[in-house]
Amino acid sequence: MVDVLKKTATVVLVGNPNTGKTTLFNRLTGLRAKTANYPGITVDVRKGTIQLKGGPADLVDLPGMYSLNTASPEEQLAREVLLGEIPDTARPDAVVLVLDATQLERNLMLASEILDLKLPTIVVINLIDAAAALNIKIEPEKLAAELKCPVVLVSARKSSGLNELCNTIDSVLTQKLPLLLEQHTSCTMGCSGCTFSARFDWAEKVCNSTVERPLQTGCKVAKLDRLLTHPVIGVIAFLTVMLAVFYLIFSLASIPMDLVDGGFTQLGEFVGQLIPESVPNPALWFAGTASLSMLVFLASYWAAEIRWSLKNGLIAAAVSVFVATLPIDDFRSLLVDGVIGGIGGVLVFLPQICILFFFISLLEDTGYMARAAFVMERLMRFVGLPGKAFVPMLSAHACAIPGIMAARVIENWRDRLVTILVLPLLTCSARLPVYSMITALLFSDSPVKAAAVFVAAYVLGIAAALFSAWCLKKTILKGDTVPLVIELPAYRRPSFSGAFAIVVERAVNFVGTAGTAILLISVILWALATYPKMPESALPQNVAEQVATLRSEALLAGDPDSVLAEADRMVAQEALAYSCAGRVGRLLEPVFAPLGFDWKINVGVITSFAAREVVVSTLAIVYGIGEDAAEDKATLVETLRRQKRPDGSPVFTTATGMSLLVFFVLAMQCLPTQAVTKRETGSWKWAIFQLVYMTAMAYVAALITYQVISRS
Amino acid sequence: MSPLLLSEITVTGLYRCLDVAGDGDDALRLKRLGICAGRKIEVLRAGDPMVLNVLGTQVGVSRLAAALVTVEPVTATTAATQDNSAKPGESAEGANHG
Repeated sequence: MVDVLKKTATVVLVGNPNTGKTTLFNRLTGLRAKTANYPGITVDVRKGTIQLKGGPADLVDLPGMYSLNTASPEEQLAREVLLGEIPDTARPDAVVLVLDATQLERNLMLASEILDLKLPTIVVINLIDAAAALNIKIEPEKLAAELKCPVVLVSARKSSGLNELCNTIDSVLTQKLPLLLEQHTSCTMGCSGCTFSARFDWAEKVCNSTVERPLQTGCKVAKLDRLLTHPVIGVIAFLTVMLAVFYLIFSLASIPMDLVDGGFTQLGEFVGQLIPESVPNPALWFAGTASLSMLVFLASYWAAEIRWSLKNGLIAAAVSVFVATLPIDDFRSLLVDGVIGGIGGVLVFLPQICILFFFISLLEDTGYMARAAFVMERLMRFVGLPGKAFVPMLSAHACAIPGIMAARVIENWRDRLVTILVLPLLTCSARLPVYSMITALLFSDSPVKAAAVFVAAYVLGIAAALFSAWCLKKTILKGDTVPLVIELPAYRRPSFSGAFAIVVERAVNFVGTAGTAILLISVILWALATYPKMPESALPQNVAEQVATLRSEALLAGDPDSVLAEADRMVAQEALAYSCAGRVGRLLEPVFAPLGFDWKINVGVITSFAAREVVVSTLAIVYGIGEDAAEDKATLVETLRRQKRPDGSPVFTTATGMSLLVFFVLAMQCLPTQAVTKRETGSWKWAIFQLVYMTAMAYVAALITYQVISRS
Repeated sequence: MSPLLLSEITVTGLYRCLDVAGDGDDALRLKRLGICAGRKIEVLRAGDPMVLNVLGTQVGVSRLAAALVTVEPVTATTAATQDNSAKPGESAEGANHG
């Protein structure tokens, strides 16, 4: 222990939820925190560095906990860290125990458990400014004597007392302070009954001798609170708040989303032009492209925290060599459509995700979210989920990913898992392009019908999610309902910088996990839609003739570019049909025919496997109007409406359209979500289960829809 | 005063917790928040879920969990005799929150 500062010492922050622990962490580490995992554990902790006189030390912000008798995976992790039960991880060198000055008696319960561990402990009394405002006076010397460890009064929000805290941590690490804790005897010694009673009795005794406080505290907002926890008004208030948040998300996010979308399109065009038509110097070209590919691997491995091993290195090298030997046109297409298009497709949803996280974090900070969970408890109980599941479910209406991450607030693991599994059924914003294409296709003459179908699609998503949750709770994730026991913390002013820190952290997290996976799958899908390449000779006779005519006409036409583009579109259409994706689409025809899909729709279903909105642009290509025309809904809808089956009947009947709509409401079709599910549940098992059950449900529901409508 | 279950309470007011049944997860979650033998519990809102004030914090508890808790009402006289650890600041009641 003498050379503890030679290796970097580890200091952990422990405390009840809502004690301002995270604000303190941000102040001490200066917002340069990193999210870290312990090996094999899905719970995130934040790690940062604090500068002490004796050198830097690692500071770990452990999840908030009420007791060492744990009730959630997060608390379990905190317990294991404190007890040194994590494999290959040493016990912390010092514990900084954060207590809320306004709730000292309650917080001392945890303190009594932590002190029993006899780790080098520093007690921090936070929110001392809030306590002063409530006329609560704490005597630190008396408290230190009672607790037998150093006590520091701080206000993390006002940054007061932080220097003293750092000096105390330094003294404890360098063992300049006598370890009085050796003399600490547990208050549960000789106690045979409930240890909690003994601890609370001790807490009351300590509090009475060290704290001067008025009897009643915190009734300033009692009237407002009565309304917000009212069974009816509370629910209405909550829905109003969430609607306002959603309005803000969709209105604020549209500008950065357009910027990301436009930026990546321009970047793609720019890079496309940058690549020469033919290889000028083969050796230089090979070296350049191979190292570019290696660079992409380097960045992806780093982002996804994949270790460089011999196997992973060989994969990267082999792929890079292969990429470098691609024909130059293929390379351009890979870079522009596969890599840049793939990354752009993920990042376009990042603004929505960030804004949602920001507001949820602010609402949590104020203490309102606990009230929301409280009022929603009764309603959610019907499907066997806790009230806390409601916020993730609402978030999922913007995007399933922040919803799944927000499910961390649900303590019970089984309830959390059920919530995560059903969240992707809720209508996220990536489905909207699909819905609007189909409603325009079927009901362009009747806005009322179109709107009704839109609403029905939302309702179907919600109903399917609640029904699935109910089923899962009755079958494979069977378990008793976990009754609500929730602290309704005092209302506080939220911290904007704290919310900002959380947004940055989660955004980095999302890009790291989901970004790498989607890059991989978008390259694979690109390859499926590109290879095998169609030789000119494989062009069907009639199409080849038309293309030749168009090309020769182009020389005479007033607008040769548009005529040539028409010819290119026809070639692209045939090329997609010739590719793997096209062949698989045909292969799947018997599977999807009962749903009313032709092979071209199947191609759309395949290519939108990673991201459902892709189906719109795929249908645009496969029906021969070109990718760019997908932006122009009128053209797309007109073309889709003209499509005929071999027997001459139209492809997009009401039955087919509705069946496609139902399929896209219920099918998984989102790889980033799967990556996040894997991350939050710790295994691909649940991600695959999610994919299988949702696809099966989508298939069956679409089948019923088609069969019923086409027969009526 | 006869003991009764917290879940049966329809009148707001001050109660003392006598026992929390069992040592399962639900009992644990109650006890950790101070709903534990010997503590005073103030019922702020009855119903399902109910709002309690325990140790100066509000706690939301659903009826299912409240059914584990046995309480007795604290009247003015029992409060005076049982709560002999009167706090120094109690006389200052009402002097806060301007």
